[in-house]
Amino acid sequence: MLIVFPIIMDKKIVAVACENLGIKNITSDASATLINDSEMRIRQVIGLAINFMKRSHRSQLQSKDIKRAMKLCGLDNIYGFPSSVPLKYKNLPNDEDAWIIDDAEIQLSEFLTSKISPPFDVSLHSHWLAINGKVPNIPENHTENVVEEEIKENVPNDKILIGNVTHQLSLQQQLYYNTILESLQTGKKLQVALDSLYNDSSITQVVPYLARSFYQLVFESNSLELLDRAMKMLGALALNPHLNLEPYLHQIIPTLLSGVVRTNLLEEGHWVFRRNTADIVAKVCEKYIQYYDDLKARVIQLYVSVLEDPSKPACTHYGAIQGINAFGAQTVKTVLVSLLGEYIPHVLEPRLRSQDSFMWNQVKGALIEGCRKVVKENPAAYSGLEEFFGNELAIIES
Amino acid sequence: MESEKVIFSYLKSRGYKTTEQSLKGEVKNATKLDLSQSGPLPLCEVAMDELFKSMHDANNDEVYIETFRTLLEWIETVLDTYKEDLQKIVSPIFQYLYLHMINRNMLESASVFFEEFSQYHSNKEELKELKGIEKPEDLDSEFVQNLFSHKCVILMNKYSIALLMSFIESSRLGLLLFIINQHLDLQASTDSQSSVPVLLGDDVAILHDTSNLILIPVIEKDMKIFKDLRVPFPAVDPDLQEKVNSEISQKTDLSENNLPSIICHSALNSNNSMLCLEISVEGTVIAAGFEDSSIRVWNLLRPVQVWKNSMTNEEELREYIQLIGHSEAVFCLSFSPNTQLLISGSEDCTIRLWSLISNSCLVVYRHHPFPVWSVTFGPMGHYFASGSFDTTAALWSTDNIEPLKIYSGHLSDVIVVKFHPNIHYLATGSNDKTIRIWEVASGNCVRIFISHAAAVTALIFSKSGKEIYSGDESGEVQKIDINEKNCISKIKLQGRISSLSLSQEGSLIACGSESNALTLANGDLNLVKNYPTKKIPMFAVNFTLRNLLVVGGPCLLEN
Repeated sequence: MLIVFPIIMDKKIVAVACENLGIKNITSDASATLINDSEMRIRQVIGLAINFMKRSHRSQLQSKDIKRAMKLCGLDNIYGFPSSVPLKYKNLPNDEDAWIIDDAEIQLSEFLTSKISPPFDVSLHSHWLAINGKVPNIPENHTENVVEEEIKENVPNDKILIGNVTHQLSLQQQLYYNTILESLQTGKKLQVALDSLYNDSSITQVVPYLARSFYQLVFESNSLELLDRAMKMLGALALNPHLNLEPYLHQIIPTLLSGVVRTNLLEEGHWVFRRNTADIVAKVCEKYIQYYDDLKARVIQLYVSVLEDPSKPACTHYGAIQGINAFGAQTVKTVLVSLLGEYIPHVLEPRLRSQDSFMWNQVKGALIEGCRKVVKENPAAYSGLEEFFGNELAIIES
Repeated sequence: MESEKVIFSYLKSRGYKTTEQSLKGEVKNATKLDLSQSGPLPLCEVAMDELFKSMHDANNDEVYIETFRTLLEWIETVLDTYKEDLQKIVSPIFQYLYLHMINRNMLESASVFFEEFSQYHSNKEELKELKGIEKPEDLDSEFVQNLFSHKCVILMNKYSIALLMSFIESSRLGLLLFIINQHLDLQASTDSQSSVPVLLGDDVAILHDTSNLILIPVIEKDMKIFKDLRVPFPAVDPDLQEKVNSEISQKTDLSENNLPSIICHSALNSNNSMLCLEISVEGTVIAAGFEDSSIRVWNLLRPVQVWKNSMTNEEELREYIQLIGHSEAVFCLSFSPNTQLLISGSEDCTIRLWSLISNSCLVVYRHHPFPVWSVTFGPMGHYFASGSFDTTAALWSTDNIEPLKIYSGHLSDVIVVKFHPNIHYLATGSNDKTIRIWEVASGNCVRIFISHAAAVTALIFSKSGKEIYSGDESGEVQKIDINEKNCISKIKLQGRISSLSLSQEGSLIACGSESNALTLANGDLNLVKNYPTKKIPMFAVNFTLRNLLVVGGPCLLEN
């Protein structure tokens, strides 16, 4: 005679476990007793594990809690269930009751060759959660409701004394700064550095130092590789959605522009480099246009002034054209196309016949690329542009 | 079937022949039906069987006492989670057993029964009434009639009921089943947590104790007022006293309109392995206990410290000092008032004392057989207390490797321990949802507070020493008057309350919750302001002597 328990466990489990131990033909009474007992033990272990979870100030039960609870119950340790990553289980395709751990497959050869960086050490970060009860507007705090309140309270206070603020970089920040510069110089861990510059919200304090370093470096160096890395990093930094680099734009924009229209850079691959940098410039202008209405206009003005100066070398012209191209079809149409009438007969064509025609062909290519954008948007413009490029435009277009 | 046999024998003995015949016919028909399909049948069968047996037994005096004793013994052996549920039936079973004994005129054994087990009855008023019933004639009273005419409704976990039934079945306590069927209405509740803590034995007396505690909040060397209860105390360090006084003299006054500045320390890259955090009195030293059994100590006045690697004997520069000694996760930490010593409690069941001057372990205290959940230094150092999974709290002095006193009485783990400002009392909060106050010197429990509906996780005495603030797992914070024994006010917050701290003048209380928020309330627990954080559960909150609020926790933002 048995009591009907509110059992969660399936009786099959006992049968399977017994089979594993080599016991066959277990009687139903025995299996019922076993299942009651194991149910009780499981409840005991889980109860203890929840206790451990709560004392660890967590609200999610992890496998290490179970491990501790089992240890307290005097049970053997079960290995192979790491707790840093939550385990995912999936059904076996043809059995609904069987579950396996959904492990990602790792190619050993790739794994062995990949570089594994040790995890970051624990560090302490301090910030003001409130100053005299008011929440300061810093990335560490929730500030949605705070900003308005702050402004209101500060308006009547027109005399605010701001002392000399000296801020010192913490050891970790100094380390970060050095690592970024090292990566810039050597190219080591470039992707990690770029990811960090683009995603990290906590690097605000390092930004002025980085901006200045990039600024100096770009004007001193003439190595394409280095410049390429510098531009990518600067772009990532400027486009970091968590940061506002408005105070440093006076350093960042000239640095980036110098990459686009540099005169003395002719290493292999510089065409691609100029083009990529032009894209970055366009994106940065797009992001910060809310602070300076004329930012984009001023950059375009600079490009136009380059194109109007025939004494500049082909690579600079190329950069300027790509710079305009990067702003999109509309800008190309209003700025570049209107220039073509003057530019092609008086600047481009004479030089296409000169010694360095190869380089000027690149310039022409850039022009065609820009015009292609215009045509793509508005096919009617094709006939107007055909007079400058003839068949070439059509071929590229197709 | 046994039950049928009993019925037949009964009918035979009474000579009901026709009834017997017709029953036999029915039984034959019934057995043809498929009985295996109806689920709860076995239970009914037991019930019938035992019921008949119990009617037979009921005239035996011994059975009553034996039944109740077996029940009590069994409840003791049940898993903690269900113990609480099952203890709810003890009082009603006691009273019905007693009344039945009176009813059956077993007066002598009834009084023996009452003497032996009356401590297990939790309601004092009812107990008084019961005591008045000594003869079968007394059963006509309104109180008894009420008890007999109404079933006593008890909400229990489904599993607890199943446990109880299987226990009754296996130990064949027909009388118990009879009582439960007759008078109790066990209802399975979906909410597994019961709301009222359970008290046993002497606890009930303590609950109704009316003597007043001496709650003056200061420590002085010869406090004669405490007489025998005085805790001997070494000389107070004059430097420390001076330092504290000078710090307090520089404090900013806080009120609801003048809120404190709050510094939040968050541990980055802790990867969920940080288990506890403690902030020193001045707020300048921060210690954190980790799952890998190490303790890391940051000194904000010394951002870079020389750390000697004990393995290689090499010195390196680090942001923190690492204290290595425990062999399992570290669950609790406490700084001495002068911030020169640190104690830690761990899963490896030991408590260690560390010197923050030499950065080394000074003493290992072994006593608790189970993980230590909480440690706390006394208000002037020297003494400290610990609370453990083994349901006890212990008092230690730093110069003694054995505990000086063990405070035993909680029914479940002791989660938090705190000294009264005058050090003569110790408060403990437990998983059994009660707060107890102990006399430090005598080791007696002098107060039990049962106003919480969830495990008590944080405690702090008010500055006057007359009240205690307590926070629980469900996010409720209560202010309890110790001598009046009532909850004065309460506030409901989000998430488990991990830590409480009072500003120096007691006008504000900071409540750190594990649901990533810090809440400021005034002394009467009215909400003043809520400060949510970005994924930083508050592990520790601490008003410094200057009334700067320092809080801390791990930063759980994913990169």
